[in-house]
Amino acid sequence: MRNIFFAIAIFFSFPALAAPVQEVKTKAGLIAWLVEEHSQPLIAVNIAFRDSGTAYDPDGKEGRAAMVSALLMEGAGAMSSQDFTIALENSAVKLGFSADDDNFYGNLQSLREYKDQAFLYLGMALTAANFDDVAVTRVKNQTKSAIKEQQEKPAYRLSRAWQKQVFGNHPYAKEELGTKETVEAISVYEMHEFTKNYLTKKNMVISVVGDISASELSALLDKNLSALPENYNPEVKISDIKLPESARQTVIEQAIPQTMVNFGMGGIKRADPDYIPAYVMNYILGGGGLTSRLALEIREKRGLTYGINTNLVPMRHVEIFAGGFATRSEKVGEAIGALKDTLKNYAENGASDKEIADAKEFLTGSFVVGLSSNSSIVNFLTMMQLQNLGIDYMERRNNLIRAVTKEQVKNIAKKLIKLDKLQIVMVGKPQLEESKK
Amino acid sequence: MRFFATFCLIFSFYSLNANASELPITSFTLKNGLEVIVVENHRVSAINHTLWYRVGAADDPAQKSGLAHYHEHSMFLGTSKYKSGEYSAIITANGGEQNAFTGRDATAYFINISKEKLPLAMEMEADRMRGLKLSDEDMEKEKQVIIEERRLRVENSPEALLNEQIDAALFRNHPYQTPVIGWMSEMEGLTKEDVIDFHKKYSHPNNAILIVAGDVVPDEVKKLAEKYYGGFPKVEVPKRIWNVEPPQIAERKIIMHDKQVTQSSWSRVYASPSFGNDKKGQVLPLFVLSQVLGGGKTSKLYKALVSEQKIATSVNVGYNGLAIGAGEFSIDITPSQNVDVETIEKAADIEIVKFMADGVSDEELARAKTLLKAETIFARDGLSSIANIIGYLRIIGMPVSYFSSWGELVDKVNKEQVLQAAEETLRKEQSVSAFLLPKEEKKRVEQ
Repeated sequence: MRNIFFAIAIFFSFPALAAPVQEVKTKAGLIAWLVEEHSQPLIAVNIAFRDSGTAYDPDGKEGRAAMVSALLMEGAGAMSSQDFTIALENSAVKLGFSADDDNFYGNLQSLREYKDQAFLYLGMALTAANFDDVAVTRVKNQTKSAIKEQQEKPAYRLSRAWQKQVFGNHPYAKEELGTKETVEAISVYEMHEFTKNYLTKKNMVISVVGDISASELSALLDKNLSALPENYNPEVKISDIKLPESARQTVIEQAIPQTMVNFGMGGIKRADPDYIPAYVMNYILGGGGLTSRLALEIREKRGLTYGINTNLVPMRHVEIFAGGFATRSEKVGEAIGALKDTLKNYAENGASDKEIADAKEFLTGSFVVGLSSNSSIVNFLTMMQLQNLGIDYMERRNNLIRAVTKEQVKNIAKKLIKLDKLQIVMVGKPQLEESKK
Repeated sequence: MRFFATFCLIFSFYSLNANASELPITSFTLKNGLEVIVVENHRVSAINHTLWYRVGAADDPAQKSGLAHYHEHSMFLGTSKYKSGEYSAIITANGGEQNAFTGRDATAYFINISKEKLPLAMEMEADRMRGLKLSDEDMEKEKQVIIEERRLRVENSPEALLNEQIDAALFRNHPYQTPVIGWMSEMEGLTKEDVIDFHKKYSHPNNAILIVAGDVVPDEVKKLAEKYYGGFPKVEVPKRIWNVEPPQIAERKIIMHDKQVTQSSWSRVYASPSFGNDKKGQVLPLFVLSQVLGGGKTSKLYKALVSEQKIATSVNVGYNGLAIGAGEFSIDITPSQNVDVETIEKAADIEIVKFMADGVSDEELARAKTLLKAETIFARDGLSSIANIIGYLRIIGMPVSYFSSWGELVDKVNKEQVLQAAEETLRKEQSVSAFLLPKEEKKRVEQ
């Protein structure tokens, strides 16, 4: 089947796509990556602003990026919050903003017939948000309520403890929503400053998939996004993180019937030539749902968990190789023992020929299935741009995976899996001694 | 809201058929009673293969809650042809994604895979329809896995625990009162024999619906279905006999305190019409009602409680009409700081009374319809969501042809119907009001 797949690739840039990825340069100099897909009257747009995420929240103003993401939906230009929502609903435009540690995102979905309105409202939100007092007060109250609500949630406590242990004092450990005090401290002026300094043409990445031509897109971008500021002016410079040098295990005590566990160590940069071998290596270890080594050891053989997974997380200032699972408290010691044994064995011996062949078949074969919707393709385009993978990456991607060797997987497993640096954080009431067999 | 999103997929079929039959739907039945539905979508060279069985948690026998779900898990534990775990391993090694889900009304097994692997998908799925072969050891371990699943999804979360209590209070006699995953006390007693008995009773072609969506043509699917499923005999399946819910005449209130709760919340769930029991055409009006009452910042409840009175920080209204038994119409509200849940309940009730007096404006109705119809087009993006909605509707008993009339039905919904559906559904005596509160700070004498 591989040959058939390859033959198709000669005629089309990528078989999942109706058209190749185009780089659209507008008259005003904006750049977007576009995949035209005219089979359905739909358009999906993703805009990312690099290096504008929650890590850039100033000290004492944690929660700023998250709050701006909510307030961009609360009225712009001459439109009040109510007017703006009614306008979106009347054109069935789906618009939303969000932030992760590194970046700030805008997401737009529209029917073709409402594309003019969709781009208009996107542009208004980004360039002319009102931040009016009533809306600011309401969003602050909503944020404070959300902050209060998460305090005793095991998943939140786990994620906080993990951030503190692994990221230390680095801005990646900042509270995403802020605290009651920092939310109160964020001023309207500071939110305006955020849009001026961070939501700029300089650090913007645009991805579009759907029923729209390059010339239509070009005109709509110029009309609605030209007013964005030219220059990106961050207030701070974020440094790279040095991960903890020695293994550490933290227990957050909470009276819950099941203990939740996060584990991990250093990962690999997306730009590293060994990233793809590492990707295959991770898939075999814990990326493959029910069939991964860890799932077989912890779930299938021992019945200790409903699910266990691992991921490579290449962030802007650190690379993590991490995973998680949950198990009944009396079995935590046994599960962690099995986890460490599996990691150790994999680091020493690597994967079998069959595991590697199966992994390659899944990762190449499922690529087409994973890119069967506009929204999945547009997210992939954004990732390609943010990680500087090149506009032809989709074409190259499966061949990169096919080229991975057993030796590479073994080497990268050995290089990344370091039990003496393993970070473990858990929430619950775990019994940590391994029960005798 | 998950159900709402999937529900909306259906509308696309109207538009698609009306336009250029871009996603034509074909259905036929094999001699052994297996119903087959093909949804053509040639955009990507991939397919979704889903096998639905007309059996779910509502069919769990007395004292065996969780059995349908345990059986679903056991379907991955080997047949006379494939060893335990091989099903997942083979599908995955061929580039396929696979999993399964159990609901109250149905169980479904799906595979998303490139189109040339359709014969493989069908062979593997057909094999476990009849060939299940389970070991004691695997079944004991799998029981621990589903118990861990219950701990993960339910026991660790006060919201999930409360939702179970809401359903148990909402349905006093109907089997929807029992959680799909099962009560912990009964899950522990499930056995391999229970599963085998369940499998023998229900896993037959005449109790199943096969949906293949994607880059295929009906003839190809027919040939393959006859080859892989056609050899199984038709076997009589037990009739689904469910306890009947008596008229609901008493308003119920339930209160839960939990240490994890730092922010109180209030919710109310009304037993409502559903696709399965909709005698008066109230399902679509209820979708409109959920939008007008609580579907975003322009909705009645959000405007009144969040924007104007400032006593709440969030309002969510959801309607799940995808059910054979009763549906559920729900309202969830988070109070602002220093506002108690009783104040919220009173304020919500006042708004509902106002709504009954004022009704829906032309503008609100038009906007709700625009959104409902747009969802139908957004739903064309993707492969398996469409297959899922068709499958569920067929499980409920709607004819395949029903889809084509839906767009028209949305357009026909009028203000009087919305108001009437509201009057008949939003009755306190058909509801459970739930209060989720922090642990009471009482000094207790430790035992």
